[in-house]
This record gives sequence, C-alpha cells and structure tokens, in this order.
Amino acid sequence: MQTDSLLAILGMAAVTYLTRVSGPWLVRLVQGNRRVEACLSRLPGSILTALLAPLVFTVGTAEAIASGVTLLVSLRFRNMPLALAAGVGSLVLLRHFI
Amino acid sequence: MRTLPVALSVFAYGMVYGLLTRQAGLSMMESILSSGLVFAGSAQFVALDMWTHPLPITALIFTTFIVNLRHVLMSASLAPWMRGLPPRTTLPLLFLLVDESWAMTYGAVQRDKADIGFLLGSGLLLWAAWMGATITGRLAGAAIPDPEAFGLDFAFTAVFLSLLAGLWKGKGDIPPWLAAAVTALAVHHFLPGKWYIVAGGLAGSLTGLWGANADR
Repeated sequence: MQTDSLLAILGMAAVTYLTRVSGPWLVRLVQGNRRVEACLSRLPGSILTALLAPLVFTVGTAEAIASGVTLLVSLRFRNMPLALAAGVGSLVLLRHFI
Repeated sequence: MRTLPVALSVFAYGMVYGLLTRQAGLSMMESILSSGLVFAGSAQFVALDMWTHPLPITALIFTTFIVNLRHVLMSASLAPWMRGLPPRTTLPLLFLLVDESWAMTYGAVQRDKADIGFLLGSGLLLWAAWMGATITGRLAGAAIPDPEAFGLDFAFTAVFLSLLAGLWKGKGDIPPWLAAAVTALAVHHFLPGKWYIVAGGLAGSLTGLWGANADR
C-alpha cells in the first residue's frame, strides 16, 4: 500500500472522528442558555426529518406512498418491526404496479 | 436486536461499496482500512469518486469532513445521556456514531428504553456488518444481488420514519419538522452531498428561538 493512500485514509478517519466527538463538547460550551437548549431539544427530530425529506419526496411515487404507509402504521401501532414489514411490503407491491 | 433490519440494509450497501472499491482501484487493504477506520458510508462513496492517482489528499480529507459535519449535530443531541460519563467511556463510544446507530440510539434513550450503552451494541453490529460487507462485496465481484429487488433500499427510510413517529410529542413538533423538511428539500435540490441534513437540522432546531420555552 502506498503512503499517500494511507495518509488519505488516516486523515479521513481523523476528521470523521472529530465530527463525532465534537457535539457534546459544543453543547457543554453553551450549557445553561435556555434559548440554545430549546433549539437543542428540537434538533433530533429536525435532523431525522431533514435526512428523510429527500428519501421520501424525491425518489419516486412508490417510495412516497410506501413512506406514508410506514408512518401511519408506526403512529397507529407503535411497533417498529410491523411498520418495517408494512413499508417494505407495500413498496415491493407498489413497484410491481407503478 | 432492533438494529438487525438496519444492519441488513447496511450490509447490502457495504457489498456495493466493496465492489466499487475494486473498480476505483483501491487495494484490499485500503478498502478494509477505509471501512474499519473511517466507517462512514456516504463519505467513503464520495471518496471513491475522487480516488485518482496522484491522490488529492487534502481534498479527500476536506470533503470527508464536510460530508460528516452532520455527526456534530447528532452527537450533540446525545449529550444529555452522556453527562457524568468519563471521556474514556464516551470518546471510544462516539467512534461508533453513524446515521443509523444515532437514530436507533436516540429513539431508545429518549423513551427510557435503554441507556447510552445502546450505541455500543448497535454501533458494533453496524460496524461488523459494514466491514463484513466491504470484504464480501470485494471478493464477490459482480455476483451481488440488487438491493432494490427486495425493497432493501427502502429499509433505511422505513426505520427512520418509524423512529420519527416515535419522537412525535404533539403539535409543537410541526414547525421545526416542517422547517427542516422544506430546507432539506431545497438544499438537496441545489447543493451536492449531505449539506441538506446539516441545513435542515439547523433550520428545524432554530425554530426553538421563537416562543419555544413554554411548550416543551
């Protein structure tokens, strides 16, 4: 293996690790500020929504409908395996018909 | 156990990654080191695209950093459950933070179903799946089944949706989530990479600045 590949991979690993450990450190810096804490409490749902939005709305019609099915089943039954089965199952069916 | 469907889905993508490392000209050792040490799927895929000799080392490292900036937000959200733990516990633990292990762990700890140790279990399982799949994919060559054939590509989406449903607490969640979704879609449309996660997450959380102190 060449030195430049090793350097690149080690550098990539280092900066990735840095992003993973810096969150709690940043939080400690702003601790006690109520506005910041209000923002932080909304962060997780917002990240998940942001992550999901393109997956749900930009992939295709079948994916969008199957997403709706998954969400409804999750909200109604609060059971992740069931919601997964419903989502993936409906997607496979939908792909046959669309 | 709850991480298993996600691990399967990760495995499917890891096989694709393994296959592509061969085409991009990485050696077996380089593929293994990338998956084992960097352990960040999207960044690794982007890096493959840039893997031309002489290697643009600085660009590779910088791009990886940008693609993974979302982990700053994710690890920040787990901070309340790591208070009181010594750095010698949290620092190694956070190595295992990826989109999937973060989402599963956050879903479990905020409903008091587990402690931060959940990150260890789910993270190790995903790491093993990612590593195993990288090696398998590289060795298997072209004989890889298409993840789309089994709806496996949708498993990610379904798990995240189910986790989001679990976070639902009431109407107060609508403004941040709406802001996050709209921002993410807009940024996703105009900018490459994973900026949409960072931008959407920040936009949603910033709605906390408006009269949020009462309704949580």
